[in-house]
Amino acid sequence: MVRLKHRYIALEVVMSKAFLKRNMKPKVITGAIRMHLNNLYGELGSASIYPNLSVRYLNAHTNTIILRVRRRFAEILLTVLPFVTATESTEFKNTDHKIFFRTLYVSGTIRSAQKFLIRNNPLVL
Amino acid sequence: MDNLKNTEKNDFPVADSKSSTSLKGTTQATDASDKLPESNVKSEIKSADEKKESSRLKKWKKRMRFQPKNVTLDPEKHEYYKDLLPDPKDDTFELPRAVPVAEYVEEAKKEVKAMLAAVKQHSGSKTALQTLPKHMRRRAASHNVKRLPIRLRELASQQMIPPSESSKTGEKVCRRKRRKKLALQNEYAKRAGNQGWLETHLWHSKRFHMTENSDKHYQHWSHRVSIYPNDKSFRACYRAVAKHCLIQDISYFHCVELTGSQINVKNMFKNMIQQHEHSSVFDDGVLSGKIEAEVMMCDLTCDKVICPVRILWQPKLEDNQDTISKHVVWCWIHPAPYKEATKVLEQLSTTHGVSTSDRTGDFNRFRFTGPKSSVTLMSTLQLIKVGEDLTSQNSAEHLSAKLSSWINENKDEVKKQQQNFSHTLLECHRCNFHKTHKQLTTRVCHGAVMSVLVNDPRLTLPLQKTKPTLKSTLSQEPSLLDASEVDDHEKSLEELPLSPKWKSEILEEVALSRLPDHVTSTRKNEAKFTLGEEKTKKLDSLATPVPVLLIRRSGIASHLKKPGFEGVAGGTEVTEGRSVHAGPPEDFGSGWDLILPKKWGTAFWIPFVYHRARAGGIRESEHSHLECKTPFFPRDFPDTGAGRKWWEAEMETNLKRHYSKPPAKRVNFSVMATPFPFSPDWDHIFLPLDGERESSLNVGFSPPLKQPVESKSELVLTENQNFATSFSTVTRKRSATSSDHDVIPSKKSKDSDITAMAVLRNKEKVATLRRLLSAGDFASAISLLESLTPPTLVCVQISPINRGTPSARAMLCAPSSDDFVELRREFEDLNGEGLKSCTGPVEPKHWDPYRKERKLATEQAKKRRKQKKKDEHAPLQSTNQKPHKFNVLPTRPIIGFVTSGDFLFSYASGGGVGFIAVDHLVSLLREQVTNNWLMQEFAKSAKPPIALMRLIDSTQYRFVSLHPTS
Repeated sequence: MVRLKHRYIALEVVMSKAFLKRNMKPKVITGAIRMHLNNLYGELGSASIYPNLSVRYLNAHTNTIILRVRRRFAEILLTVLPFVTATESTEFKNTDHKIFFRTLYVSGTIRSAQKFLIRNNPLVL
Repeated sequence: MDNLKNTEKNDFPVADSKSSTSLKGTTQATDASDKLPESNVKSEIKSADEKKESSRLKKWKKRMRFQPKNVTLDPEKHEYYKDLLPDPKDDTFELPRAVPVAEYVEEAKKEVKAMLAAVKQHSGSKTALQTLPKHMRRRAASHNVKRLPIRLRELASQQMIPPSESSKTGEKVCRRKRRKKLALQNEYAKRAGNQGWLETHLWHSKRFHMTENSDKHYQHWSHRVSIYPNDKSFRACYRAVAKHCLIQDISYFHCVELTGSQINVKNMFKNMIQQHEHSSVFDDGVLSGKIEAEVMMCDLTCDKVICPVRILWQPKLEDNQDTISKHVVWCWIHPAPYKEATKVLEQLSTTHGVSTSDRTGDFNRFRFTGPKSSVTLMSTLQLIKVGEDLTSQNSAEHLSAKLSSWINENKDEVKKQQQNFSHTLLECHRCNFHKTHKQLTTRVCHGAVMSVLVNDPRLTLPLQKTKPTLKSTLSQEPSLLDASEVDDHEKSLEELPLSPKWKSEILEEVALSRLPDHVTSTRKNEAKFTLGEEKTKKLDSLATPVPVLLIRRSGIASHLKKPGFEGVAGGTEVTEGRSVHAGPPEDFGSGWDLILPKKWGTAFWIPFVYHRARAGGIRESEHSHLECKTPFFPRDFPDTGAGRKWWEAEMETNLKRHYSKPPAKRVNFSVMATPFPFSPDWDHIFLPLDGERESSLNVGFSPPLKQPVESKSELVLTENQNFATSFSTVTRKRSATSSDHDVIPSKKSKDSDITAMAVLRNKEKVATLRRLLSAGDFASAISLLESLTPPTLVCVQISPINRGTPSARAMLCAPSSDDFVELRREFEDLNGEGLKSCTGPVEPKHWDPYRKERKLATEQAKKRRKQKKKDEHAPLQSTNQKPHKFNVLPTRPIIGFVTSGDFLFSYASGGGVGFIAVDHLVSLLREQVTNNWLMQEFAKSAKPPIALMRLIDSTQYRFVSLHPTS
């Protein structure tokens, strides 16, 4: 069997409002990415990434997220991430909330992403 | 580590509630992925999908169990944010004035902990060693933790701990304990109770195919019996019967004890045994208990045969036959018709004042067949020493007191019996193997009974399997030789087979006196190292007298081969220079029956096997009967209830086998013109040969379709009809004289069938018939056959004139006059090889009347399958009919059936046993008498009556000659 290879991307979410922080859920994140993905790469881009995009870890307190994508499309996603500026308008009563991601780390396994977080947290402090 | 373990469980301890942003870690596994089914799929999805979803969820959960969970804020707990909002419609509020560093640090710490746990967690089902890359794995690491890298040691040491003690309690007891003898015995006893195991069952079940209780053939046998050995031994068993010794455990025969005065029992027998067999039952030898009689048992009206019965009277010393003193009679009955037989016995016993009791479990009966059976018995059964007082020995506490007192009382008798035993066995052996003795006419007669006290045969069990020879036996026991020389032959036969066996209380004690196997074997081993008198003393201490009965059986077909009838079977004359393939010798299948007390079965069985007696099952007795071409119960007794049941079971299995194949792989019996391929239909052969036969064959399908006019088989059919009418004129003539049982109404109850199906079993009549036929006196044979009013079937031996092997269910057909013309042409053809080149006629292909219907049915079935998808409630039509008979008659009318047949070693050709309707036999004879060539020229190679035989799945007819038998 062919092994499906992935890329795990550790992100820091920067949000404008505490309200958003309260409602931080995987769906909000992926929705935001998808919207911008659609704008930048069109149908093909969003179709190739979005079905495989998943939020593996999310922490609302430390604002860290681990995303997972197929390795083939990781580059596309990485190019999209800087352009994400707001959440999907449909998510919160048709109002955009500003959001952006800081890409911290890209790895091949979730394990090394986790290891990075272990390393990173003290650094931040 | 403890902290880490806490985090594994994802219970993030809640931070202090003082702070404004008190948080709570929530476990929301389902929210973790976008791919996961979420709450929006709920009620609409069907149950099947739900299952799928749930299984996906389970898998997901399993995969994610060690991953840190998402940490989100609980919105409901932080409603105060909303209060802070200046305008509820606008989602803006003031930024907090200070950054909650402490909270953040706390949370970051937790996150690190969770991540550490996840990283350290060794995932899945891999062992510690498996997590290492291959080049770092070491074999020694599997048992020594220190061989592993440090990071894996803790994990490995955890895994190396064996499963906890609590799980062990539910486990089975270890095999060694389970296989201990006592445990095994207990378990076997438990299992044997409800299955009807014989004493030798365990020995057999390891080596034999056993009867299944679910098998209809053996359903009513109440015992599980060995059918045939597992090893490749068909021929070896035949050789054992013909030249050596075959041993069979026939303890499954039921023994019914009748007690009453002699007159009463006699009267009772008169009512259940047919007239012509009275002489054999009420013979003086039988009444005195010297001979065991074998007769056919009938129902109350004496016209329906039930089964063969062996009758053994208890010998009485006093000669007061007419007094009221109690006599005991044993009736040995086959298990298949046992219920039927006991019903009759009970009815008769109440009217005649005789009490009956079932003593089936009290005896073991072993059957020895073959010329060497005498010497095997002689070497295995060691006589008990009567001279010394058995009770005086100290270590003989296991002996039964009653038996030893009986022995002391009847010392002289016992001695005489022992002499008689050794003498008779020696005589029997010499009859078979010594030229001078072969000519002797005085032989031990069929059913002669001997009683003898023997020692426990386990004591003389040889270490290896050894073939018993007369020389070695005599050298071991010189007393045998003395006995044989001293004793007077005439006198020995007159000895009464008195036996303690007849007293049930003694029998009980004998059963208990059997020492366990381990006692005998260990003490025997101890005795091995002692010498001389010591040794004999030690072995004598183990000696246990066992009363046994020996019953002589002469050859299976010996009753047919009395002087005057010889040379009938096999077609070749029996002379001094006998051909090897001229059929079985007269004493084929002769031997002994050994009746043992209960519990002694295995103690005797294994020594016999060690003396090279080959063990056989039911198949062996069936086949040795077939070698002699004599009917075997219950297979070749279609007129009895047991025979009918047998053939019903046969029908069922054959049907199952036939219809388990796909239609394209089945034999089309319609094309072959085999109307009864699954079991013989006896009603059919009683029908006259004209139109009634066809109308009677209305089978399964509704109206038979019309045949195409142009088809070939039309011609065949008309030919057939012409032939049938010509043949039936002969029968008509006959039916004018006695038309009582010519036409039997086709709709009858099953019981009346059997009464109509009376088989000629009168041995004298069969013998005269054989004699007449072999002498060529056909006129008197016909008149004899016509005089038989009740019997409608004759059992016949089937011997193909040149080729062909009969098998069960094959049809016996009447040849047409054209067939004989063709036979003569082939026989006399100068380019041919005479008899060898005589092939029989061939049945033409027939038109399958149901071909169209079947094709239609399959098409309809296809359509229905398609329709079924549209509406499921369409009524199902029964299309796959499974007819038991086929509505196509062969060109040669069926006059009988073969019930068993096979290749026979003693003839080096096929042979079998079948049944033919008397009327048809008569018409066969009448036709053939008129054929001069057949009677004079051809009769040298094959004796008339000659019929045709065809197997169920072949179109080739074979000529066979028939010989009546019983």
